[in-house]
Amino acid sequence: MAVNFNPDVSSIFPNIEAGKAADSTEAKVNFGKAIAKSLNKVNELHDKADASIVELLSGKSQDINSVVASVAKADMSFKLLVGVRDKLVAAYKETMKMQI
Amino acid sequence: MEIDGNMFGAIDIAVSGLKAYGKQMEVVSSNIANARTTDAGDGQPYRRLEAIFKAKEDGASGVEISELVRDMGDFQKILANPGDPRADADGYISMPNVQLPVELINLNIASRAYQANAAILKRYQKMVESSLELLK
Amino acid sequence: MAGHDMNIMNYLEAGLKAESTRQKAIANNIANVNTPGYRRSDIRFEELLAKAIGSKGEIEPSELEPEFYQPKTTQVKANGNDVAMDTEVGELVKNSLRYKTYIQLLKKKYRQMEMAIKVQG
Repeated sequence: MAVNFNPDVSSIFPNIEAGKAADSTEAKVNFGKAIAKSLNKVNELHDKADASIVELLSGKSQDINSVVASVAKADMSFKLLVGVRDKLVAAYKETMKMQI
Repeated sequence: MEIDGNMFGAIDIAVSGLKAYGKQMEVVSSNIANARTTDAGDGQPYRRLEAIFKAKEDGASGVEISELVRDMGDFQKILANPGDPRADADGYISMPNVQLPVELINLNIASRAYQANAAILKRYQKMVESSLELLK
Repeated sequence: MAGHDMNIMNYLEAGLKAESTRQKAIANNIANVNTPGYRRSDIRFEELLAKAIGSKGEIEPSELEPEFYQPKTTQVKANGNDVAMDTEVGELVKNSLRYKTYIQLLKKKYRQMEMAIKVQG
């Protein structure tokens, strides 16, 4: 599943005053890092969930409960990421509507 | 004794219970059916059968019938009608050592236990299905 | 991520096919509980899938067909039949639980793909 996510969010805020440049760059970088970190976490949880599904399918494990738990965990973090993405896209659209 | 992630263990244990108590029912019904059998094939009356229950292994395991033993208690003797060919020298006939009240109690126990095991199967299935709700 | 996910969904669909075939085997066993000489049958699938995954692409999971076979692990009664109702009931419960689990997992996967494609707001 291709999650197209560009951690570089500077494109959403193109007009930054020079005076605020230092602060906002740092804020941009931190935000970008946070997004990248949660993207990695989602991938990690997703891979763990998939591995447990394969174990169940191949008969190596009979533990349905742990499969359900790991899939639910991965799903929750994925939903969070999707929510953040949707909010960012909405914010972008709002910004584009603004008269400069 | 290990605690592993075999969640189908509860199912296997319940099934072993169904088998064991089903066997117990067989034993009880054999005893009841033969309660008046004076000749079990070798000239001797029918000897009461008893099922020995044994846990399959140490820890949380199923049950099995390890063996069927003959109750070596004394036969009951009843007074025979004169001229009855089955009578022994003293005029008594040996009857099987089966006591119906005992058998009926065992029947009740086996039936209740069987139903309890079947209920476990059903409940356990519902339990796992409810944990699947997490994925809805 | 996309290719990996499609694999899992293929495996899950193969699992669904296997479990529904297995249910037919169990129903057949139950119907033949008194047939002289009848041996209970089951489905070979889990080991085949494990082998297909381990072969890293040489065997395609989508080509996996569940196979009928006779385990011949149960005790044979006097008439040559080895079916016990209690065992079959237990197998039916396990089979039904696995089937429901695979269905829910597939549903989850489809919904995640939808969420990834669709943008709300």
